[in-house]
Amino acid sequence: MRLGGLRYLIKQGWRNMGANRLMTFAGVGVLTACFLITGIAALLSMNVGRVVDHLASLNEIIITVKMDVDDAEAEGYGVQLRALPNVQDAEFISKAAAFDEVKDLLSDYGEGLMDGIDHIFPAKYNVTVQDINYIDETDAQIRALDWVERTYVSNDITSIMLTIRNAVTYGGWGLVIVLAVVSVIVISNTIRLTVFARRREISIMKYVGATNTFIRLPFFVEGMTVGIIAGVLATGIICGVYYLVYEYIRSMYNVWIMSLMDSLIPLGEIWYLVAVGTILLGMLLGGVGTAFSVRKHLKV
Amino acid sequence: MAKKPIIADSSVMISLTKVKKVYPGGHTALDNVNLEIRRGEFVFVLGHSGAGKSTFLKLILREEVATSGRVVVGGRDLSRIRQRDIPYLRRGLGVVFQDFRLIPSMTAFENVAFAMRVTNIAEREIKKRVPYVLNLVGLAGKARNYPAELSGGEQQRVALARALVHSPPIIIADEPTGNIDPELSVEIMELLKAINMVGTTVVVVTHEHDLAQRFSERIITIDHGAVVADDQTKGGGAF
Repeated sequence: MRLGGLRYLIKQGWRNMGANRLMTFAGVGVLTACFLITGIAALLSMNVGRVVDHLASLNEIIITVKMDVDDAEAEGYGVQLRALPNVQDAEFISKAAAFDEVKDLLSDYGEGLMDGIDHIFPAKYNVTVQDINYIDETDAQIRALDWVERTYVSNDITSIMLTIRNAVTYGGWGLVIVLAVVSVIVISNTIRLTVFARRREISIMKYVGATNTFIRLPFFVEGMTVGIIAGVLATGIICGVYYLVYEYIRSMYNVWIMSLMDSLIPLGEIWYLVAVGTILLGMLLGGVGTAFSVRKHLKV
Repeated sequence: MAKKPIIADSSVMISLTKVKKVYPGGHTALDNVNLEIRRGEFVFVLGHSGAGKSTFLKLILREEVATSGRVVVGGRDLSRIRQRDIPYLRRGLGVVFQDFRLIPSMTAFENVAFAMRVTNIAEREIKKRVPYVLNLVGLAGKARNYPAELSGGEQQRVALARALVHSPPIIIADEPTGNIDPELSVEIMELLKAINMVGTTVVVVTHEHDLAQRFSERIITIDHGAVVADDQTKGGGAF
């Protein structure tokens, strides 16, 4: 196809949008809403994932070593621990260090209370895991070791976060699929109305020898442009809202929230992903929606 | 460069051999139709409503496919033509309809240019060719008028200019005078006659017996899906 012809067809597509302003507006509006929900679900899922990973990195299994095992022997068992699957690191705390830890905790009182007492606390290991999902299995493997007295796992918050992450991830993807189908239907209907309004023109085109590609192209331009406009609008709104929410959370002087701030994703790291993802999705869905609606009217 | 029409300038431009067309509902529109239209002929296909004229046109334009028999246009067997070649077949056939089929939002110039644009012809060529064709049909001064600003006869002349713009070897006119006054009908027929004089094959499908009598050299009469008369001089069958 010559360049002039392509330019003409693109202009025709845009002209159609102007001629069907109300439908174009409705299509852009509904698609923008779909993309907003999709984008927010995706960002929520990404952030919850990062928070859960952050909490997982803080989560430990504390192991106390049997009292009859001396420090040198206990330290040697570190090799056994680190060899276990899912164990990221194992930090050894000797009986003396454990004693000093408690003494420090008691501060001034410790001086008097603990004078003359020696090594009444067992040696410990603080174990961090690679994947928080398998912390219970790792704990069971550690408890099975004969030199281990007992283990402590504080996984209540983590398991709640894991449940939230899974719900957000699966729910988010479900939402994306449903909204993608809705978007295709919306674009398809917008184009179908345009095609219907122009069915006479299409039949004339067929009689004067236009190819199907020539007839389809303006509708593709229209569908894709609607998708791109919705994508750009959704990107602007998502990024704006995300920035405001991020700044609001940052301004909250709450210790717990402040500890999570590091794991939230700043806008600078994701705005281009949102933009490219939404605009490409808009183009793709615009194209697919158009393909569904034009076929029927080409049979002349 | 736009792809050329695929019909050849053969001695027999349209040929139907033992053609039968039965629609999915079971209605037989044409039955055992045999006819030949030679290059440069001016032919009227005459018949009343429901006689099979429209089906005859649809088969030639490859809008429909014959149930049996052979339809050949410009040397191309239409039962064997590939779907993607149909547009190139139609570029060799200039079609004029009873209801003009002009696009109301386009000027006379744009309506004619449209037929060139859809076949991917360069803008420079369009700007040269369209005024020439509009001049041929006597509408040089109306190029910027919209269809609503033109009379029925003028609209039909725009449609004729659109049909002529590719210089097709065959012009098919479906009831071209059906929506215009009798005196303007004569003008349109005279234009078609003039087009025929330069060697273009013209097929006029109509139910207007008097018009056919006045202008035709050959009248093919269709009734109940069959060719009932083929008068090579003048007159045709009564119906």
